[in-house]
Amino acid sequence: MFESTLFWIFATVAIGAALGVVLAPSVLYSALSLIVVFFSIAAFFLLNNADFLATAQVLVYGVGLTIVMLFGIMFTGDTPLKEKAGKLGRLLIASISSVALFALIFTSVLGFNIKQFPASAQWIRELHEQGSTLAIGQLLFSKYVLPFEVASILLLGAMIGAILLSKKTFTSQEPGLTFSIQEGRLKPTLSAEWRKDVGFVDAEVATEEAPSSTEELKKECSL
Amino acid sequence: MMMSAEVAEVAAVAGLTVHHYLGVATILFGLGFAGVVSSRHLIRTLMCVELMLNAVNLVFVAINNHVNPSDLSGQVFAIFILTISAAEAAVGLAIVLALFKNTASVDVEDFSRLKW
Repeated sequence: MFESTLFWIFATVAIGAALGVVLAPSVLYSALSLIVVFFSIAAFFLLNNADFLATAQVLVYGVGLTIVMLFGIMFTGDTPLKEKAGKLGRLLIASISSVALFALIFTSVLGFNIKQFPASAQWIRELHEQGSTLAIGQLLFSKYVLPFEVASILLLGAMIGAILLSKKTFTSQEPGLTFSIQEGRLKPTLSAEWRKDVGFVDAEVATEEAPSSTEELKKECSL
Repeated sequence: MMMSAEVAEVAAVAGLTVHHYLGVATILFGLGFAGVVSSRHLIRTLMCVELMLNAVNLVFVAINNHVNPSDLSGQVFAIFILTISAAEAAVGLAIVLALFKNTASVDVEDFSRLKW
């Protein structure tokens, strides 16, 4: 009885917060409601005797991943996107396709009926007393040791890839030409030697005539 | 609903069946999918992918607990999904930042260079 009350509370919270993730006007609010979803899923894990996984969920998702997302939002700036036509059609397509997907999965889920293997009372008691950490660790290092090692290689690759990607990537071929982002626009700056080589006399004129938006820059580059 | 007598008995005792969790996970997965399709902001798209991965995690754990609780393979699978989604978020966010550095935009519709 107690468990099912908890389940319904957390189900309501999770679905409401997931709606918030999809529909919130600002991405920042969506990231904050994502935290709520992660914590309620951790509560579902606890209701399913998965205490280690609930802790990992809070640590990895609820804290680590949302902080990464918030950093991403801070780096890109929480500016609202330009209003464009077709928002209604986009929402319509999204809702129709997701309702269709939901109906497909839900009907198959309702028919889910598999032979159950009830655990012994002693096992359940041990699980409740010791937690699932020991059993998971034994499984990870015996039956699933190969996927475990492959996952570590994957993490290493992802780490190297992320570092490479987030290094300063936009380097121009010209040594004197560098690009920076100012007020949301790509701004090229010319070094003094470069300007002298090309023949600019006044530094002020050179920086003022520099193309200020990406469109102008593209035009200049194609000329 | 095709519930066997055995399953129905468990439901009567605990008040909760595996179908409850599967239903919630399906709703979360559908919402995440709707977000991926409808969102124009790159980071929100990434967050909705995380939502879908979490729904799958919930299915693994719920089925593990309700079908065969003496073997915790479902939870180990959920740990692998956790690992992969952490890697995916890191690389995805690095790509978003690199795109933002180059184009000063996070709008999905601005990245149409490969559109045919």
